[in-house]
Amino acid sequence: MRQYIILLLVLLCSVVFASGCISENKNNNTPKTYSQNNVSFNYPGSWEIANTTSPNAVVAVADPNSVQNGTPTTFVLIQKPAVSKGTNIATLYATNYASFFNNTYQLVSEGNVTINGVNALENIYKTNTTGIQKDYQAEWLSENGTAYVILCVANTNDFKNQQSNFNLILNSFKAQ
Amino acid sequence: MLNSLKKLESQFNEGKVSKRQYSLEKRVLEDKLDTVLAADRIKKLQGKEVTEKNLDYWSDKKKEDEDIEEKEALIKKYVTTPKEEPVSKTKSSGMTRGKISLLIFVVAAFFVGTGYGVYLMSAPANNSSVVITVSDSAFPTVNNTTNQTNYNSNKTTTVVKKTTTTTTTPSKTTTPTTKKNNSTG
Repeated sequence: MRQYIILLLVLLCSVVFASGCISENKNNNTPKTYSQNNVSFNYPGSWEIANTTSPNAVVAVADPNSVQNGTPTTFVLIQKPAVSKGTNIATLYATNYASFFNNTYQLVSEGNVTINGVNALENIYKTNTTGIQKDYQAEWLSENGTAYVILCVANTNDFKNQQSNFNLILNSFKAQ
Repeated sequence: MLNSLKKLESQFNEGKVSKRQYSLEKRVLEDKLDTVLAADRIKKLQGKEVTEKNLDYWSDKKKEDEDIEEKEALIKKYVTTPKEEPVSKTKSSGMTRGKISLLIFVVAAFFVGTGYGVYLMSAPANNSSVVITVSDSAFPTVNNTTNQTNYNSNKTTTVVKKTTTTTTTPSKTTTPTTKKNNSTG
């Protein structure tokens, strides 16, 4: 009888330890939701909302595990160009990239895409300014007459791995 | 008893036993023998089976009993039974202590594990004290001013257009004057 009690207690301890580990893992895997500043989207549970000094920034979310010298290398930045409502997104796109690519930035590809049912213009480019090669994926879209730019950034060697996280944000992005 | 009698007689003949002692012991043995015989007769009269055992049977039985007694004496003398009680006591106490300590450890581990699991479930995830700052931009810093100026010029043009339209509406009757204004703007 005592042996059964001891075995039962050992099993209970195992269950408790396992549940604790599982719940910790589950917290990291469950996506979070951002809903402020007239935009909403889901982002990975392990990411955090970051401070941003970028111009016309709405919000930035970043992977804290990618921080190097206080700056994350994997993040998504949402900016709202300072234009009047109803401005043509193609015009904004063309104006922005008219003299964008130089020795710092190099164009990789561009095209038309659909972001959560909204037509968007995509521009993928890369940079190698500080010795770390980074890939950028900029999505230009207009919702309810308001233009937004969703910039997804990651190191070149990690960009494919982060594509699922970027898609989570892009496919859930909504503007009010 | 018959053997005892025989033995007694042999002892008397050898002179080991005095006459008086011999007569006394003989009388006792004869009385015993008479009672045994009387008991057999009674059983016969009652119809009970009486196994008439011969004298050899009684002597063999006596020898057997004596042998058994000797063996038991020898066993008691030379064969030491293991002291089970004290050994069992020590064993039980050792096992009890071990079991109790194991039980205490398991109970403590249970509560520690439960507490840790509850803490993990209730603690907010990803508590990082490091401040993360993003400074990149979809608008390069070199082109930022130009873009802003471009956007600003666009704004001014729209304002101008609006003013002209407002002026035209009241002066519909004087359309030639508005045309002049347009040519000068």
